[in-house]
Amino acid sequence: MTIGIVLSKPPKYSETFFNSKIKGLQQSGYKVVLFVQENPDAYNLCKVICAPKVSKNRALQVVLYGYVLLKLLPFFNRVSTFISLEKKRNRSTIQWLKNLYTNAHIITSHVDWLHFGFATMAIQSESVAKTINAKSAVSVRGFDVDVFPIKHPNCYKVLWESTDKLHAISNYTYRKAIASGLSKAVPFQIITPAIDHSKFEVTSDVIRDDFKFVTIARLHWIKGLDYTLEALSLLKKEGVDFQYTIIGEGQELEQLKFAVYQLQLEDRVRFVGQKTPEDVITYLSEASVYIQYSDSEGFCNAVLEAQAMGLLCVVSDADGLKENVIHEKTGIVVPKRQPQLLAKAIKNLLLLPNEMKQHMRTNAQKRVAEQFNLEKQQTEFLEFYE
Amino acid sequence: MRIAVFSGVIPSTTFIEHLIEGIANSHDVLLFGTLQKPKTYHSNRIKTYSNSKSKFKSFVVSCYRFLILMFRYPKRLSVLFSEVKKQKGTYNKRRTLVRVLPVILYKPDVFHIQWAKDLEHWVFLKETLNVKLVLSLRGAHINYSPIANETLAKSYQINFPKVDAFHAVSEAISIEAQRYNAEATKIKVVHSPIPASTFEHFSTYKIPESAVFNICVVGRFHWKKGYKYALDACKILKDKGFDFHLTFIASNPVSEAVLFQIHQLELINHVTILKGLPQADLFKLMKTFNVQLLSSLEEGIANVVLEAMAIGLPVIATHCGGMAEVVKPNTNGWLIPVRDAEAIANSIIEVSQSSEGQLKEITQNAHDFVKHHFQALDSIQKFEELYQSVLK
Repeated sequence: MTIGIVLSKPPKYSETFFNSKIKGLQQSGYKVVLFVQENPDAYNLCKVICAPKVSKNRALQVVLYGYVLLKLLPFFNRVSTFISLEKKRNRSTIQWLKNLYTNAHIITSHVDWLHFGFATMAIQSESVAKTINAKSAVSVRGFDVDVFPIKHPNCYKVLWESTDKLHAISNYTYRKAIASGLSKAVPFQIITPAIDHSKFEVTSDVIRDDFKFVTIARLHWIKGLDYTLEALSLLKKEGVDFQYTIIGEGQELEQLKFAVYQLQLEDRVRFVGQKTPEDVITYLSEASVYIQYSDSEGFCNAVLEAQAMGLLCVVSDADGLKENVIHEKTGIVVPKRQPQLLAKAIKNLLLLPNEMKQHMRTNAQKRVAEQFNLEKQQTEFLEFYE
Repeated sequence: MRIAVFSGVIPSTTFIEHLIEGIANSHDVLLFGTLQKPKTYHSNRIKTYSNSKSKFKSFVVSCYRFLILMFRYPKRLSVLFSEVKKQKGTYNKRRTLVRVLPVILYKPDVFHIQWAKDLEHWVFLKETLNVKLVLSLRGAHINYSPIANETLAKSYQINFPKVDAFHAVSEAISIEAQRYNAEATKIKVVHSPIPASTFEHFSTYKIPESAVFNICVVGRFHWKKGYKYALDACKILKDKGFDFHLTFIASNPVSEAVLFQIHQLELINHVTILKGLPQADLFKLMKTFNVQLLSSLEEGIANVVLEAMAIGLPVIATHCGGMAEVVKPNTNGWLIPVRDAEAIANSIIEVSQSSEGQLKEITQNAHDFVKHHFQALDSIQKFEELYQSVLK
């Protein structure tokens, strides 16, 4: 059986869970093909097929289109099926002509499952799976169901009608997929992300009692970093002596730096930018508390990694994070968008007796090791395609 | 006096255009910069030496200017060459040549720079041609850009001491600028004036007839406007069962963050987003609201608040930038801390519980205050004094 996975780019070698999924499938006798827009680093774990390039130069684009049409000639039946499916969906001629071009690399391939790695990637490709007689699977992650449908109402109407099986990374993303119009009759499986435990190990058995906080996040509004900073300014006013490191980069650096200045946190907060996976581990091993006070998350891998490394996690209740951390058992879950509550929660956590902190830490490590490991994820994906 | 008012573009923003026309009543005003759209000035004392966006036109005009410079002021050629030489790469050299050539040729007595980020390109005017430099201290250029950008902060620290006089839009921003070596004695606070016509929209306050309490927020979607706190406040109001409706009036499309927050907090039925309107229509619409809210994290002095005060709409504003110089609690409006949704919600409830008599008094005070302190004629006079002081 061949499984085709549609992504914008092949996964990086550091994206362990993706690579492990591919390896797991291959070990069980599946063939895996990646359909991508570009393959800059010559990914070689499996076969990679790139989409036809789109040129801004119109004349060149006409030539490229002609070339792709030639390649499609031996697949005349598929092309005619594709066009009739597109017409049934009332797509304009221009639109289906575009779709025929951008999907040509899949139309000329043979797979049994066509799995879109993100729901947003499947838009305008809804007719492809049926055209090539493959089953259609879609993964839904945070952004797919959180933000995108608000900006583009009904964007998944066609997609959900043509999906054979859905993969959600959390109960939350599944619920949001239903809210965006997916029928409950469509089979689904929740497979959470997983981490490679050999890479994220506890460096010390003794719990750190210094107040070093850390967050790994793109500097993006959805990560709630301004609320986090406001909570920390409340802690500072109460005399808590902490240091906070934010790992990541993004377009909101200016406003976050301004927040640090306005909240008088310049002596407490540092932005260290993006770091390599190895450096991230060093930063994590030097901190005691991990904060992820996002406005919204599908699930959040970074929180899994922090738990595995023995950091105490304080997260918001938005919304996949509630499944990632169990309140008061494996960490602390705080209602979103309420910095006063976050400040209180962090303070209470710091005041816990060491044996209770240790207990929470062990619970978290145990749960992450048992439920979010690569072997479990591999088995679940095998089930998914069965 | 020959005063250059430089913002980089022609025409400039509304308040800079007011300044240009005001000064031209008694002085020559020289305008340099890129022509964005055709603009004719009624005063013949306003002289435009623009550059075109078209490379070809720009080239022809620059050749002409170069020839004049060569024959009339050959000594200034060395200034031009040394400025161009400082740049790296042909592209930057060419751009600098086109930009500085007309200024060197038509040399003003005073070069008034509107945006602090431009200062470093013009310090040479003072150093080589003894042109006096005046710099306006406005909003983001002082309040947060140098905080996030260390190179910019350093360039301010080096160049601010070379400026002859500063114009600050508020007391608060003049203090902020001193962090970057602006000398306190060289700073003069001149408020951005409100045109006389705005005050004509004033009428004695009456509580609007509406089943719900209507809040308006005027301003573009940008993080510094603090809309997330306005929306968090809406959630608090909704949870309290307070019946309200909030309307954003903005000239740009709604941001993803605001849109998401409205949905996440289930505020769709409580929030409306309207496109920006021409000023006269905007004032008419504003008067149908119960209160205007400014939730900003940073401002010079927000014009929208001055306007609301001028036309007689109660205002709630955050204590940021120079807002405290305008909004006086218990007298002419409500002033609340920044980044505090709870405070926004409480102040909205407080306004809703105020009697018509109290609101009449507050809005009248607000109107009188703005009329007294933000007169157009007054501010032009202050600018003239500022220019004269540097030429002494």
